[in-house]
Amino acid sequence: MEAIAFYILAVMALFAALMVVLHKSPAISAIYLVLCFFAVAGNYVLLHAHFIAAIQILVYAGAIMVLFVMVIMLLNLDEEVRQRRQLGLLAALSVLSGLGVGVLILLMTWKPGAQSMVPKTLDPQTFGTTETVGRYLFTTYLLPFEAASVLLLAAIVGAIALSRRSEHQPGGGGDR
Amino acid sequence: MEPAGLHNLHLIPWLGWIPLLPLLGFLFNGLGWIVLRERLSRPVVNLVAVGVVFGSFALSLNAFLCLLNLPPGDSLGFTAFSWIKAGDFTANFGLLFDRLSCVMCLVVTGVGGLIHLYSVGYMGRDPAYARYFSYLNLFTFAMLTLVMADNLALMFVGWEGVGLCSYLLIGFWYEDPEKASAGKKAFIVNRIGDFGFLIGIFTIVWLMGTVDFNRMQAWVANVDHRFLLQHQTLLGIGLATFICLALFVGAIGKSAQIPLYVWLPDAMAGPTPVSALIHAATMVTAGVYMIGRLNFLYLQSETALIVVSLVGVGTALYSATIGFTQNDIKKVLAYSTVSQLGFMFTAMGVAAFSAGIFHLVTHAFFKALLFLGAGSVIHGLSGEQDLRRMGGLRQKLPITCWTMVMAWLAICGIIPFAGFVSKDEILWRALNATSGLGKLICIIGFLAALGTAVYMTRLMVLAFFSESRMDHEKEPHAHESPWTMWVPLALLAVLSVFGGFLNWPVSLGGGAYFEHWLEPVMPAPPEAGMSILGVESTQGVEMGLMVFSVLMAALVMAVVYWIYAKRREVTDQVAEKLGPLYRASFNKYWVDEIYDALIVEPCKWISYFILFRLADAGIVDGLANGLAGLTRAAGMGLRRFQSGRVQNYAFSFVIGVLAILLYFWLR
Amino acid sequence: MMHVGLNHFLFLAAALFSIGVIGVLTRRNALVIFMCIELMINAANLAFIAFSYYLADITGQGFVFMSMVVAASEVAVGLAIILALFRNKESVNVDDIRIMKW
Repeated sequence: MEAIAFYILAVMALFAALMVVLHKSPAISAIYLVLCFFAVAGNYVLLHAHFIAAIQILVYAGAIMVLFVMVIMLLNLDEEVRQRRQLGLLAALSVLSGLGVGVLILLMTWKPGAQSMVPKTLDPQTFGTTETVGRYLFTTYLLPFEAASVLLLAAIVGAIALSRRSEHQPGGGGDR
Repeated sequence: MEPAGLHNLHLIPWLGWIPLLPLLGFLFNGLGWIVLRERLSRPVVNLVAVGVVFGSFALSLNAFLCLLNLPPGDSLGFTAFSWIKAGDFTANFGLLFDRLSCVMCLVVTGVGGLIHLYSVGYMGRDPAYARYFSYLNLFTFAMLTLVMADNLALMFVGWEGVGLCSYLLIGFWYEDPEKASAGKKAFIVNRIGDFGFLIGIFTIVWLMGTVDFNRMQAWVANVDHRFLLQHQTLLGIGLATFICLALFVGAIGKSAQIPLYVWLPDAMAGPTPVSALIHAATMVTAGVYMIGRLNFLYLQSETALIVVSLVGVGTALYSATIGFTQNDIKKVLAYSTVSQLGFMFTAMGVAAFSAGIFHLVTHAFFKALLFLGAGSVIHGLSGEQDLRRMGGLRQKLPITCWTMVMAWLAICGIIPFAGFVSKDEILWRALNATSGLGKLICIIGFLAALGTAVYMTRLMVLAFFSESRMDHEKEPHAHESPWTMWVPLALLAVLSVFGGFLNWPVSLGGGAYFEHWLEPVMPAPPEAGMSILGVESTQGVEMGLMVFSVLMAALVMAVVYWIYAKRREVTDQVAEKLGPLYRASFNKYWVDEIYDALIVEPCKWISYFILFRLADAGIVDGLANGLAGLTRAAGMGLRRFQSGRVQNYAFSFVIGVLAILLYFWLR
Repeated sequence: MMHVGLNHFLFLAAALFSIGVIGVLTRRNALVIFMCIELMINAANLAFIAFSYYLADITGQGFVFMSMVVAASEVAVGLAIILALFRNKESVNVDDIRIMKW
């Protein structure tokens, strides 16, 4: 049962990822990316990471991708003029190197017996639940948690500062 | 005859003031000039500059009186500070005031002081007044260091110092490029000689391990060492000969003998008092002094002594012949100096060391007098130096005239003037030389003495005792010099007249005081055992020689006087008849031109093409520029990586990651 | 084959990662490049979660949490930068942004 779910989700994720890279319209790429995120969230559920799966949907698909789509719409981009994408040396090399990275990672981590690896003792009721993760974050990893909130604050301030229109630029929607 | 140095050395601290006073004068005037320029008042400069030299003279006199009361062989000394100390080798700033350096000090400070006084008048209107006197004081300091040094290294310091001051003073009016190059020529030719001198010093250090004169003398006194000196060879030459000849090369440069005399005539570009002091009385005599000081070493090498005497007497005659034809009054005197220095070396070469030093002293008197007198003439004639445009100065410049007459008689060797005593002593000693070349040397020396009479008489007649050929503009202004100038002339004239009595020969009833005074330091030459013309009686031969030389000199003087005063056209006829000879003499035997072609031009060629183009511009610059070019090329090549494209950079990232992954996977 | 093990998840993660790399290196649009970077981050997160499950250690999930926080902040700031860039250059094509060229 799980295997079937996994394969379906994996294929969906891979397909979506490929379409992100290959499609010429950025907006459509964004949509495909959302799909990919959903697939990955599904994988998380299979891995008993329920809380993380929910956060994935909420944050990635719900906030980040929304931002992306908003910016794409804002910039009103045309389709990327696909000047016969120079299947030049650089492009080919890029593709090869990318594949190479993946291959190497696999080679390094492939463990023949991992297929039959039994997950260690693991309490299915509590592993990956909100409570468990929460307890973890608020006790052992409290400092990183608080630091993360400072980081978010910095990001907010930064985003606002960077996207303000300067005085000299024409336009600016009267928000002064 | 015991070698000196085994006697006592008395420590006299105030000895250090003798060279120090002129040094302070130099500092005072030099710094004063730099800081104050024209605001430095001339009377102050005069007082300091002249005062310090006379002060040194007074101290030298005092030291001399001290020596008089001490047993022969004793000397005064003082070590100012320790200078070089390398393992066993030491060379200190030590002063030695023995009988020889006593004589030299008195001459340097006495005659030097008179010349300083003279300069007050002569340089009275020169703008760079204080600079002149500071250089002159510096020279005095260096010369005193030279003659009072107790070791060869310090002596060399003084040696170089006088060379430097010579350069500074010859090129004193350096705005004139000719005068500046005359200074350069002097320094460079001196340097060539100094190379030989240094070789000699190094060999001495290597051999004896010391440069201190006393210790050297003790070393040489050792029988085994003498054997070594005589029999061991260095580059095929006996050790003693090698050292002596190497040192003599330095003397050739400093004392203007053949072949390094060429700088002295050019040095006349400097102010006349400088010519008097440096190129007549003191600096050029440094070579003679050096041989005198190291006489114990030279006595070990007969070959070196022969070379010295031959070079000396050859130069004496050669230079006299050039003097016959020169028209510049100072040039005649310059060649005369070279010639007289030749006489001194002749004396040293026949081991008549005290005779050579005595001629040094008398020469200082009459040659300084001659130069100062010439300066007086030049000053009085507003800069005229050509003999052809003088004449009739007997009436216009009487003091100058008659004092120079004294010098003239002295240099020609007329009895009883100073030059007679010293020159005849040399000729007599040459005749008695043990080397067997004595007769030849004596004859050549005699001819040179006659030559001296010729050119000096010519000079005196053309300047004073002939009709006036002066430039009509200058004639009315011709005037006698101020007291600061004629007083030294007068004093020197007195010395030229009566100086001979210091060493009046025994054969004429005198006591030869000078020779006996120097005996502890410089052994007297062996008395004659030879017989000339089969005659045994040496005293008779000596007197015969004296009479003969005086008569011949007087005869030559009379003849030349008559020709130049009454029948000058004869000289032109003679010049024509002896065409090539005349031209050779007039052109100084083209030696300067020969040196220029053989040595100077090739040097310049090598300097330009090989050292400049090839080594400096080619190799050194090429290396430096090449490195820079390499860096530049590398930079130009590497900067292509900065394409500005983020994706290219990302690509490099990925390649790097791949490499790391590969590394870890393969490990 | 029917039993899905760690290797499968790692394979998926590696594949997603290399697709992301290819996308970063090949696409011209800055936004799309950005999206591919997000893809790469996700692949890494997936690997973390997989290991967390198979090693029964909750730390992996905590790490993924932090990773998401960082990703969110980074996207916010990054998009702001792209907006500013667009205002100045009227284009988000990375080929046009070559000011740092030598």
